[in-house]
Amino acid sequence: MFSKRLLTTFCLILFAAVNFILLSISAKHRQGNSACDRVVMAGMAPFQEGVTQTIRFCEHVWRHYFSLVTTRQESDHLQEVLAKMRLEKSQHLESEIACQRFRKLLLLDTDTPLSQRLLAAQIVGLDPSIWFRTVIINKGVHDGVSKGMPVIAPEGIVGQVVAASYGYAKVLLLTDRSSAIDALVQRTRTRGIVEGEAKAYCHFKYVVRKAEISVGDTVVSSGLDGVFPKGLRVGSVMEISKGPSAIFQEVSIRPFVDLERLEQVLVILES
Amino acid sequence: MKVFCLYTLIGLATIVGQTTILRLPVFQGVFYDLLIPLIIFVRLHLTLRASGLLALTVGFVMDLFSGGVFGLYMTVYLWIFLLVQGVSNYFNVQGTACRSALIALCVLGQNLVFLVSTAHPWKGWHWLSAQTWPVLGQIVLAAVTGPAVLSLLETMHRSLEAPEEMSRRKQGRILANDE
Repeated sequence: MFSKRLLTTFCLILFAAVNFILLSISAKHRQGNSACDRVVMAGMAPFQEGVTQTIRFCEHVWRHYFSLVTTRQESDHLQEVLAKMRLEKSQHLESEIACQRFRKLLLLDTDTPLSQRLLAAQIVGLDPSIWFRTVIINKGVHDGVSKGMPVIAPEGIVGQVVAASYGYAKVLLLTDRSSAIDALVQRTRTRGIVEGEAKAYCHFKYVVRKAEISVGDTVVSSGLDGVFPKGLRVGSVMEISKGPSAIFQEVSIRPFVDLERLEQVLVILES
Repeated sequence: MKVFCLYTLIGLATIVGQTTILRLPVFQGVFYDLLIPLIIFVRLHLTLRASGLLALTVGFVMDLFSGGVFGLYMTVYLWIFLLVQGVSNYFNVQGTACRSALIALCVLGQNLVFLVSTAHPWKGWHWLSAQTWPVLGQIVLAAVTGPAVLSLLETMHRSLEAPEEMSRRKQGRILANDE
């Protein structure tokens, strides 16, 4: 009744349609964490960890034994930086004591120190594609990590956990296009949303045109998204452009964390 | 079964390599998905069932390690699988030029699928500029090195098949002598 070619074309169209529907369903129920997923991840990730550790070992050997040419100059420079940091630390300590005093005066509850809720983890794998920005860390459900937990580095926000298996977890970086963080400019308290752009920098969106913002301003998390605690550093303003009739400003921000060379991260277990 | 397991292991090892070594900053993201030549190779040399199962298995694992929509890699590998099936019916895929074009086409197709899956038209297209050069680099690299990867896999496949073929012949001779 039908020719073979027509039947093949029909089957291909049907397959494409079913494929598209299944992908749409999958996109809606994003990042399922079934037992099978966890088992495969737990089975594969140790190999990733092994390879990553080997690469790091080679890098370590290279950095510490072969490229010691400028070590003396670096050491002198770091001594100077350390002296400055010590001075700054004592100033910060003074500010903290003053802050605690004011809190008591205002009868506010003091927050628990962040350091008590942090879990250090190592990055063992990176996303295989250039279109997505995720990493695999060597801490999982077993260590108390679960989906939605914020991940930071000493310099600032890294991203959030999107899937966790027994000993490993997948972290969506803040530069991924599906990442969004409610943030504000530290200096002027202007609010906006930091969205990833699959590049080295992010966009700070929905910043109203009249809001005062300048290059170099620090952007911190607002704490209103329910994921990231308030005050975590996100990045610095890199570029601002105002369209002639736009309601919002176009702001690009450079993350404080160098996500390309990131090795260790901290997971905030409670936020 | 032995051959299928071996290629699955090669696929898994490739995934480990792609998520660790090949994503180092030194490579600048120009390394294409090395599972594409593997999928093409298994479709050309293994049975329909074995190659389809392998494509789905490696696709599933890639989906687990990727930040994209779950099922995206499985989709891409299945379409590559069908494309190779279709192309091999009409063209001679043994030639270097044809192989080179086929791998480059598959890499381009994969990137297009990823582009569609990550694109939000209401957010604009300015972000694409950063991806243009890495994608072009991937296509060129795939066209240049893809046939070599396929040849390497074929050499390995032949060396795997040789002892099996010999043992089969030996068995045949013994049976003939018995008769």
